[in-house]
Amino acid sequence: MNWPTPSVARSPDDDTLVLDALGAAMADATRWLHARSAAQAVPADAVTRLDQCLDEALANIAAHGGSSALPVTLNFTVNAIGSRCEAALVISDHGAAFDPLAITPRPQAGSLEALQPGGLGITLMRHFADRLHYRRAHPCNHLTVVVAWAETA
Amino acid sequence: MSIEFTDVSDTLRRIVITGRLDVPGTDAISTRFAALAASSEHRIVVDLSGVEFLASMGIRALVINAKAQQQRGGRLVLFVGQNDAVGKVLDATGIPQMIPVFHELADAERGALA
Repeated sequence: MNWPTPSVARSPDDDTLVLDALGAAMADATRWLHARSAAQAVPADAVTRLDQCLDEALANIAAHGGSSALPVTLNFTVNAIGSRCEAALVISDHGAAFDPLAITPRPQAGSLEALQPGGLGITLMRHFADRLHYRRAHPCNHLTVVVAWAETA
Repeated sequence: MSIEFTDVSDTLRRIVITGRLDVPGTDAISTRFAALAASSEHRIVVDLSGVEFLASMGIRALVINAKAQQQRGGRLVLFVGQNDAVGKVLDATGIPQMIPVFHELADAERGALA
């Protein structure tokens, strides 16, 4: 896959990416996530789940924080405990306090007529992450997405 | 990201979307998608078999256009083929209970015309 050259992202180190814009610049974040995952041999299924959560988190920041949430900092680490591996993606933004985990997922509509467009991002993050954690500090929102897998010999 | 269409018959249109239906990808195709799905003469099959990634923004676009078709008395269905990644995302959100999802193209076309 060919990705455009980053124009609004900075990498203070390999495992950290700073986004100075959202919208189309989210492609920079996706490319970085795939590159870091490949460097740390994260399996494809786990990368897909991280990708899903990252896109939903950035969409939330864009919708709720807008430009005041910038810059957005991403940090990626992988840890192994025995045969169990975990990738942790921390997404930090400067927007007003917003805990996405405090939002109750909308109950499923029973029909297309009753179905309201939107509001599915939290549902997808809860489904694809093994753990989600939110904290407010410094004064930023920090959302941690953890995806785990068993290492095979 | 691309979106193409084929009028299979006078009453059936297939819209083929490929690439990433994430925030930038959905932004890129949403206007054309709405225009193609707005046909009052055609039932609509949206072919997602070539979609690499489906985010909630992409699902939102599917829901908006499915509802618009329904309000016109039409019908929009989804064809995913063997695309497990897209199938898992749709299943996680309960969409197949509200917008029909098919794995075979012939079934999708019959479903749209039902």
